[in-house]
Amino acid sequence: MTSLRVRSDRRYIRSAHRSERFVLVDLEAPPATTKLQRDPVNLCFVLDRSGSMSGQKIELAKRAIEAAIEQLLPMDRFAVVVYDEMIDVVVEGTAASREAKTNAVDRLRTIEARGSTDLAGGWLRGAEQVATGIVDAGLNRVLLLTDGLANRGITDPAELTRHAAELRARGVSTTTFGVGEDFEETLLQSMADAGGGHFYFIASAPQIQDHIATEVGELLEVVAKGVALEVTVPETLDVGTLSPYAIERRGSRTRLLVGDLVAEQRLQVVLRVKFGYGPVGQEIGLLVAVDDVDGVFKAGGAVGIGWQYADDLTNDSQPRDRVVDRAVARLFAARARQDAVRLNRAGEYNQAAAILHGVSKRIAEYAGDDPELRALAADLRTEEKQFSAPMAAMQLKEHHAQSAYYMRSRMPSGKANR
Amino acid sequence: MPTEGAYTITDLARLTGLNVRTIRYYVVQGLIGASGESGRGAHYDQGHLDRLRLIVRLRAQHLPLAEIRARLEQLGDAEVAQVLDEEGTPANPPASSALDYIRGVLGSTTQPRSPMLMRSMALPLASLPGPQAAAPATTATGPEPSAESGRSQWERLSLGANVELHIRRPLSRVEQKRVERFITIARQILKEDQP
Repeated sequence: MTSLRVRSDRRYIRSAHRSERFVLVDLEAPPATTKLQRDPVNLCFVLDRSGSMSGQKIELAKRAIEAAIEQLLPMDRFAVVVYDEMIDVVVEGTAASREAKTNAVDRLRTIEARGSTDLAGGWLRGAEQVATGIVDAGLNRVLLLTDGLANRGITDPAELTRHAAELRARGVSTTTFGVGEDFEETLLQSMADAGGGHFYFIASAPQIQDHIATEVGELLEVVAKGVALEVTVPETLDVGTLSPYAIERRGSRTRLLVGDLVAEQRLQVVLRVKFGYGPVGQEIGLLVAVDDVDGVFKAGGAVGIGWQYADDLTNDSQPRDRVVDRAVARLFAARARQDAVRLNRAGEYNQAAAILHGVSKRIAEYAGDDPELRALAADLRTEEKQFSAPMAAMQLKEHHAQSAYYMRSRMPSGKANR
Repeated sequence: MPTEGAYTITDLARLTGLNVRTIRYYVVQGLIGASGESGRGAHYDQGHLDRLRLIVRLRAQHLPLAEIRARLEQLGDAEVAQVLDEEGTPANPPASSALDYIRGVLGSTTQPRSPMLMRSMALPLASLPGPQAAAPATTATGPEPSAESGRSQWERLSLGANVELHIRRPLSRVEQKRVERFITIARQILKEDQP
């Protein structure tokens, strides 16, 4: 059974002023399929072999890829591309037969780290491998692993992000793995977000295995593909989101693209709704439905939620739904932390602290006596001090990753929440 | 919970900002059709919702009800949806496949390996241009050349519609001459078969 729950922070809205409310959408994917066989997967591993990957990083990455390939069945396809400033297709897209797997292991063993980093070239060549053997009824994904910056070929993050989105729209998704402290996390995160995949932060080489295994393992457990939250609103309502998902707008419908979901995965998405004026007593609302490629969520139907226009007194004295307040506050905190990471890295310590201060203050304003909200505001005040001085690269990476995982309903390990 | 496209009158009210009484009035006035069933469980479909949304829009333009009714009578459900969607961005599926898109970006053909023209060439000496061959235009096309800070500069040169050469500057004089010869030959080859 799928489940969809929708709740708002407050029920009443102001009649004579523009109100803003938040909606917490809680989504749960069904348990593992009862079909005899899962859908096939078609993957390409794209591995950075630039000089900085030499030693443990590349060795462990190769082993992780070998282990992942071992999990595939003959109905699946895989390919391996390596890149520095040159791009080499080490294993061309092939069905995952026993022979192909053995051949892949042999070829991988010959790879050593060398030059600089044409990340775009490697990634696109990997996408080409996936696209050549595209499986219509399955999952087609490029898994890109790098420890450095893109410094050859296309390097503009906006351009790469756009290509990732275009590929996703054509059935090829992208997941990125960033190893160590030098990779560009904003780039890898946006490529994964636009590309419909996930971004993983790998602090050190020994963790490579675990993260690649997580990603491939989850790909083999997807129960709903291309999931989208569809929100239908009246014309006087403006709906957006605090959650970092791509949005498509079609007339009265807003779609949030949340990606592929694994068995029993839970996702929380926060919508931000802005209202116009209205007469006291009138009801206004929206409808939330879930859409996916195979109609897995269809049976669950749509859920409506409504608000009522009220006078200022009713509005100001109404109760608050603290579950929603907490989810909203944590999202604002996560966003502020990511901004603070960027600012701290750029040496703007005062600004980094100011951002955290601002959010902490706002949360305190509606925290009341809620212990969780008060604790969150206090945590942010502590972090303010931390961010007002230079921070180590690895620490900044950790902060970014933890915020990023939280905003996408991933566990601190980077795994799906289930 | 309503299933896809099936709305209760409360849903319709919430999704249009109209109140229930007004909606019932529109049904009675024939501006929208009645629902399939009667009573509180009555379900309306997407067509009803779209028509109501259009009514709201036309009312905002101060059209009298009689005229609104007349306009709605002319339009089928699909047409009403189209009128409403005019300002939205109907997301059509992309025209090209993933493979076509990638090849457009990479500018590659069928060769999966990064093409190395020099390796694949084996030209007889007679076909090489003479020493007075025209100097190639050193235009860096596309985004600015990627440079490593504090080290050498890479330059991108176009050889043909879908082929580029990357050169690390500075080159020695001997290297420069060789590269120029290479570029002239490469461009000739890439122009073959073109009208």
